[in-house]
Amino acid sequence: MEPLLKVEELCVRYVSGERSDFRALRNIGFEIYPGEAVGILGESGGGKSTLARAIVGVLPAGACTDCGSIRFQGRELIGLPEGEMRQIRGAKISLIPQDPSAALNPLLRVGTQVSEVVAAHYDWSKQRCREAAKAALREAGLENPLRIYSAFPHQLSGGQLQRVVIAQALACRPALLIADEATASLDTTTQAEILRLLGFLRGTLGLAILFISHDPAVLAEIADRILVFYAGEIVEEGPAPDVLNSALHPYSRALLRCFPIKRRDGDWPVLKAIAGNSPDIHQRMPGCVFEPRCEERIEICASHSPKDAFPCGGRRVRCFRYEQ
Amino acid sequence: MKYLLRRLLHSLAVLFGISLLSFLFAGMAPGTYLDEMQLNPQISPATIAVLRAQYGMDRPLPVRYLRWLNSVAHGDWGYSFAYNLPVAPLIWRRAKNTLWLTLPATLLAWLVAIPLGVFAANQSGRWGDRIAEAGTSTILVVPDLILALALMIAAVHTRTFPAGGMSSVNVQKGRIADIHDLLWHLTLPLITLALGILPVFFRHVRAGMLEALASPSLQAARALGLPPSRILFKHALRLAANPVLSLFGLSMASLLSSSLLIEVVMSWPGLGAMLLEAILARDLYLVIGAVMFSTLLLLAGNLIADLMLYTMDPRIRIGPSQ
Ligand SMILES: Nc1ncnc2c1ncn2[C@@H]1O[C@H](COP(=O)(O)OP(=O)(O)O)[C@@H](O)[C@H]1O
Ligand SMILES: [Mg+2]
Repeated sequence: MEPLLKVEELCVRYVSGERSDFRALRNIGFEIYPGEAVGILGESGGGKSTLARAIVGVLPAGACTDCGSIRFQGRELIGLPEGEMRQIRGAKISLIPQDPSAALNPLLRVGTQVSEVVAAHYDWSKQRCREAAKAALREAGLENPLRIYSAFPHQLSGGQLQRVVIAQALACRPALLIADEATASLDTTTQAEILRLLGFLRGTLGLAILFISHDPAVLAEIADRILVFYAGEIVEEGPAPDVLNSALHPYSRALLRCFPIKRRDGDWPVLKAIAGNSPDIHQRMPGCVFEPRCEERIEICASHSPKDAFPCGGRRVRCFRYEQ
Repeated sequence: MKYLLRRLLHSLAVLFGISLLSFLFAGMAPGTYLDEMQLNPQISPATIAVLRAQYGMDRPLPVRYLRWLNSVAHGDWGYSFAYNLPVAPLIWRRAKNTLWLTLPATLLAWLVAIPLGVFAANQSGRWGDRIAEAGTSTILVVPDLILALALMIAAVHTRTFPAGGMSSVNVQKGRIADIHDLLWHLTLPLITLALGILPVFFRHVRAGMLEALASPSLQAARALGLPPSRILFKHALRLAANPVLSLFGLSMASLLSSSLLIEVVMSWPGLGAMLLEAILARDLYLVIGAVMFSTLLLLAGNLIADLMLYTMDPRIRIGPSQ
């Protein structure tokens, strides 16, 4: 089967700001198939949001895509003219931003902000856009779409705002939904509801989801496959249950120890924080990105960069311990 | 509604505070107009004593303040010693001239600053932005006085506009002709004043737009594929209106001080020039009246800004409803 999204050798650098020449993404490569839910796991500062924005083509002004390719439905997105990219954004690939309470314009009615997304992508009458927006609100699980439609963002709760943002993202029936820490600001009950909603919509709409989170428990709920991000690199990839239960990379294991998720045997693992800080990629020495914090480092780790190893079915890990 | 009521009460409190303060400071200043009259040998001490009693100048300050408050409540703003006239009509005549100058100048400055600021923010960092920035910076560093003098010299040399005053001496009578004559005299001071305040307005609009364009909600809007024009005008302009409206209220306060210089240099018979004279002559009630008027102008500006914020911002207008 053709992948829906295929990212290869993607490098993104931040060229402006005080830390100029900051390599936020280094040789990222992965695929998403239609209808699949892929999770990205990693600490904050790892470059997860940068990746999300790079795919949608809304990197901030100081960022530049050095190399690599992003193919979506067989079409190269890097270098695509802004006008054509704009037709893909929100219509074929949608991004749910990190904080739903900041993602809506406080001065405009919620309904306006949903129907304008429809209007941006279809040559429909105002009335028809409005109807589509109401349908999208209903679909996102908002019980009283008419009331929500004419409400202002500050009148809604966090969970309702999250559903509105989901309605915006799904109103035009995209093939890929990127959710960047979409539930991080919600309480656990609401978070579970939203995850259930996304799972349901994925089933009914045949939607592929790229779900970004720092919380393994959230990914355990929704993801089929997990990519572990560290300092702008994918250090591990594999089916979600495998990665969550028997991580290969020392970073993945350390991260999973920080966030206890109930293991298959029913035991809670011991909590343990990772020593050291996420590295400043700018001042990076040669060698593995995780070497300074790694508890299992061997001699070669400090001087050489590990290559991807494929130890067993569907798994990938960037660590010398698994290289032949 | 509660919000507006609160702002209104707040304004009243400020008005009281300012009147108290100006009375206090004017009362503490050494000498009064009547003291200077005493130096005039043609006026008998008896006359001055009568005047003193008549204006209550022999009473302690609190009594005078309460009397003044009472008379203001009855529409009487006191009496000018120097002009020998009631203060209110005196101030109003001059204030009208100042408003004729300052209101169109602010309007003009906003009309230029808003599109220019939106354009510059949209072009951020590119040539259009740099040119607008350089142009307004140049105006900003040139002192208003130099600007006024340069324009006057240009006017004199080209004989296009009068170099001062508010009306011609040998004006033909008739409504149309009068208005034409006023506009003709108004042009130069108006342009000078508008140019003087334009850079500040421009910077605020540009900064407000840049902040709005960088806000998470507009980043989200961009990621949803909304057309740039809609993001700029429907979203960013509204978000930027909030800080800009606050500036609008404040700008009403600085109108009088910024027009003072131009009124003096271009002999525009406005309130600023009269206030200056009144202070020098220790014309107590005229000074207080003029100060109160400019306070009123400031409060009116702020109230208008509040009213616009109220209509613009649903967070103020509606409040959370759960
Ligand atoms: N606009 C920017 N300019 C410069 N550096 C940035 C910018 N945005 C993010 N970064 C840097 O890029 C790195 C990755 O950031 P981000 O993609 O937000 O990570 P994550 O989403 O995983 O927390 C961070 O170290 C951050 O400091
Ligand atoms: Mg992030």
